[in-house]
Amino acid sequence: MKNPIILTLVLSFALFSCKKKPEPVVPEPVGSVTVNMKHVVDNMDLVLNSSYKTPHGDTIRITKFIYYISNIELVRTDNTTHKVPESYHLVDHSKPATVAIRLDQVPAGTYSGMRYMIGVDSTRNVSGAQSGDLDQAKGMFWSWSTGYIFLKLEGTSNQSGAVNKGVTYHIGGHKGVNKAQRSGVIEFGSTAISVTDGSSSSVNLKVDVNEIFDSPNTLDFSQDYYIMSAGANAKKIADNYADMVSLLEIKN
Amino acid sequence: MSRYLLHIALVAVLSASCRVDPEIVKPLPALPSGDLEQVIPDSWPQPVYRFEGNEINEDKFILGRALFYEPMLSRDNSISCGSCHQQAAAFAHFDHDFSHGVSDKVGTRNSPGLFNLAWHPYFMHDGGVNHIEVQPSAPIANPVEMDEDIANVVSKLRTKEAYRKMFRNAWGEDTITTQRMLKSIAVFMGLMTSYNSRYDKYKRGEAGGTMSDAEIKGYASFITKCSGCHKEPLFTDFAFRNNGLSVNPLLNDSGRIVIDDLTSSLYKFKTPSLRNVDLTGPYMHDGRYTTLEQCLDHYTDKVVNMTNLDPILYNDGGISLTSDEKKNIIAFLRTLTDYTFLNDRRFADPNGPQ
Repeated sequence: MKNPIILTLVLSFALFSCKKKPEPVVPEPVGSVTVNMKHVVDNMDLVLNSSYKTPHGDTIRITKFIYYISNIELVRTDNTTHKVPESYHLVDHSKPATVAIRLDQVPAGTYSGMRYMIGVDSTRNVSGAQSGDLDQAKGMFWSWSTGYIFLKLEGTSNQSGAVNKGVTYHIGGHKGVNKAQRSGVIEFGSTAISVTDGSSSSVNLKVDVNEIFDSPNTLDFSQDYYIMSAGANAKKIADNYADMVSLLEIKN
Repeated sequence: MSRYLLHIALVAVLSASCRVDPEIVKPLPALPSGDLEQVIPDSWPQPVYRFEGNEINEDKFILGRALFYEPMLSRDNSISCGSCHQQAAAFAHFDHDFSHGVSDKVGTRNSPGLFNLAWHPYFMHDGGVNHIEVQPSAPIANPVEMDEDIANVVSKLRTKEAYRKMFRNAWGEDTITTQRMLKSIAVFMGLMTSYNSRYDKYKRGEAGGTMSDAEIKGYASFITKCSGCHKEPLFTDFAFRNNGLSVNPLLNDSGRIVIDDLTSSLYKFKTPSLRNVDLTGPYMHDGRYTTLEQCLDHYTDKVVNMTNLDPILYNDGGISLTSDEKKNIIAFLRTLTDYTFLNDRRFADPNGPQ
């Protein structure tokens, strides 16, 4: 009676000892990088319901400023990149938590720049129901002509041609000639980001709303007060917001 | 002792009679074997929607069906998808040129039949919606349909234990999200496949697939005169066309141009499928014709020669058909009615009359 038990024990011991020891999993060293979006109008901080002067000389009281920044990639000094997975970030000026975009699990390394897109890539516009910041319930989606609204800028202006003096820009367009996504690159210059295990760094970016009103297309609120669909007018604004983001500073 | 037993029996009876059935949704009727799989009939093209990233399961189907018939999708909880898409009309709106949404608001386009949607490359008469999963958000948001904020629909569903349970069954957790809601409806709608009409049985050489002489003649005329746009086996090629309908100045519906901003799209609408066409009237994007006879009369006599008129119609100034040909074509079109689909209990309102 005892023998089989001993045999079993011996066998199982042998089996276990034959099993290759699993390689100890050494976690890849990762840190975090927070991208802070600082919204300004020219050089003044953006405060909702305050009035600002545009390059055209119009005055606007801004009531809403929301946009998608997506497809963030951190560029290493050797030009390879870390693509942030599921990188779709809805930034809403009225919601401070959305203005700081925290990127976790960034592999250790030295990064000299970042790439980004204003808007949402075409793929996610044609792939059905999405989640997270791409949830339609966030209110940045055209249901009648499928596609994300990349940027909403709303306000009032005495110069507006609208009966209610509104200025309403809902900008999108994800395909063909109407594409309104705009990609950009931020060079960190002499201060690279150094990510080490457990480190946290910051990239502080400036987003100048006045860029949306100007360069290359100077907007005149008596004409350009209501743009709510993809097309030529939306592209005009997309060309303007293409360069609204610039570097303020890097903090390691 | 006997009193003790009686007491136990009493408690048992009472507790049983007090139990409230927690199931709002009735169980699925018995499913034919292998059902709730995507059927791709022989000789059909591959569907556009293959449920990728949205694996079919019975609980999703049940949830999707409950949502399809759920009036909470509308602002005042009065209108469901099923209000304007009725099974007896192949999920079109029986006897309505335009449907009425919340507060009796009236739309400007005819509610189309719903079937074989997994084969549709885009949705709505103007093709504005590019994916079956996001289609329901269009009628939900439309002010003359459900007029509701999709975020609010999700909030309303979250207050209902029955839905939390159905979402848990379907998705493994009871968090109700927009994405899960839409994907569940897509499972229900994507499985609505109509492929068992008499015409289908005729083509497959199956029992019940007989056609009369008139129907066979009508089929032959259909192939020469109609199938340029209403291509078999789906009876549409999904192209956007201007079929020469006079423009109703009260509606002035400019069609596809609203979506793609191209002047070449003015007054163009998606070619509809003619499957189940006998039941999906009124016809055309604005429901102006109530009978199939009127539709054929349009193509022979009423085509308006205007910019963007489809070349197929332009070349001949319409379609030439004798009155016999028309009768036969209509006889043929009636063979496209799929009674199996129309009576499939799986697609019926689970809380409606059985």
